[in-house]
Amino acid sequence: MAAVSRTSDAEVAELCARGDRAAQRDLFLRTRNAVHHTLYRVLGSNRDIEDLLQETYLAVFRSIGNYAGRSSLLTWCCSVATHVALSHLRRKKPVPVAHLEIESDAPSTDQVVRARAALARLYHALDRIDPTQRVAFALAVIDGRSLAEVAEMTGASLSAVKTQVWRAKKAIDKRAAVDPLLRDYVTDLARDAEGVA
Amino acid sequence: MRDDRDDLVPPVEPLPDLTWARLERRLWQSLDAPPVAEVAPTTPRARWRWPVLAAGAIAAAAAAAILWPRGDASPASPPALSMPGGTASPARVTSAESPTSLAFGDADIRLGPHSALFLSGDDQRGVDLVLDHGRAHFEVAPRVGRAPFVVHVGAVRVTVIGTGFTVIRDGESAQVEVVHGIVEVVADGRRDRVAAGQVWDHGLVRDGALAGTPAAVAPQPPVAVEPPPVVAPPVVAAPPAVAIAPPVRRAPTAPRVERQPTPADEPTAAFDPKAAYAAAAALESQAPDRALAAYLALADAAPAWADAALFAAARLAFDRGDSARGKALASRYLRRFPHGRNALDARALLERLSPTTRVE
Repeated sequence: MAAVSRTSDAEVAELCARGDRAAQRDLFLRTRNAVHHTLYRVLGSNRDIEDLLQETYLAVFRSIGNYAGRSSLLTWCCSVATHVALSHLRRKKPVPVAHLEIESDAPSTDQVVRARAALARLYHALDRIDPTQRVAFALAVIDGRSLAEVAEMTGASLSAVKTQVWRAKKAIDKRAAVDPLLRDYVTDLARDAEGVA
Repeated sequence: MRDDRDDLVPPVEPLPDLTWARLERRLWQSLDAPPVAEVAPTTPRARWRWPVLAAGAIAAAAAAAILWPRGDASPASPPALSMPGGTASPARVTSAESPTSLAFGDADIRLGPHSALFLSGDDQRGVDLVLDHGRAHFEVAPRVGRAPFVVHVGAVRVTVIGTGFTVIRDGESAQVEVVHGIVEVVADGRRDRVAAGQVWDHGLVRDGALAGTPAAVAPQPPVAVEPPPVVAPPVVAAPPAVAIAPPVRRAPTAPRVERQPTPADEPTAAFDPKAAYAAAAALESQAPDRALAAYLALADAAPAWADAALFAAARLAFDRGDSARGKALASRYLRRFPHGRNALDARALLERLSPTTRVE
């Protein structure tokens, strides 16, 4: 990992593109948690995650020669993961599951259980909307990323992302109208998220 | 990725170190393998997809045919991959997005989607299989007087006595469902015999079927065969000895037996439905069967919570891929709560399970 931190992203990309296994491994270790985080937030669980992580890194190492340095290598890897997740959602009839561990140092069991149940319902609702809107909503509202960051990760324009998030929120609000738990949860989530007002 | 959202958004469930290690191993193996063996991210409408995947599968199968000893068996319904003579050195078979079937020795193996199985041995020396991840169903001839047929699933060992059975691996845990015959399961120093119609699940043997047991096999997928790391895949010059077979349809497995909550399941202390609901929700990820039973018990025991609990049971069954049970529970919910607060979701669930059926 030290080798990577001393080297610029462009140099790392070049080494990886040449098939330098040490550089590839350093990049994998440096970025894997963020890539996993991105996939998990879009999908809502670790279901299929191992295969999607492999698919992501295969795509990363096979296309890293195209890395132009417009964003950090970490963001670029997360962007690849976003596209892999989007392809997965499009090609597969998704099954919404939210397997979330209850941590021992969590605020309280009640809160965690409530959040967990609400999040499962939210992913259930997201499962029925357009995958592009789902990805934008998951990254912006659930994960709390800025719209600019989401735009960078999805390759869409800022205004397009804003529209996608807004449409997703509108679709979820319809479902939340008859589900108080989901309604309260989405309200809380959206309070400080961009593009959902 | 803000830390202050942790109270609202439960943290990302970390992956075990073993998973990361396995993923890294698979990644480097895939990168070192010929590009045709990989499944690149594609969209379902890409017309070139199946020809490319089929070409990859044929090339991989041809490599397998060269690496593995050949036999002269010719099954009536040919599987995607046939290894009637077993294999002298361990080999790994992986499936892509759909189930696939293979013949190994005298056993028929159906590998679920996104599953991987290590194969070694033969009918003379005995067969040793390791389910690396995913799900596999085995049809094995009785082993009386024959070499053993053993499936390893993490620390769990399943020894065949003559049976058809399904094994599911989820991380380091395993489930075994016996369709007919009998198997012996050894785990944590304990030995259990599991008979037809029973499920071995984390050391407990119960009647019933695994969630999401496939009733039919989808169109035949490509089979990627990865040779042992020490053996470089040879250049394929000869036509493949293994043909991609047409879809194989099989009858459903053992009938599902829904376990009804018993009085023993009910707490003897003061009953707190809210706590019971929370406890059931907390069980979902670790012990979904128990969670489902707890939701159903709560639906019977606490009328005020029946709406939420019954729908939660239907959703959980659906989430686990158990369409039949999800459908039954969602219908049961709607009969009991036609205007309940989850009625909209229950109808959507039913419509999703039976897209051609309009739910009134």
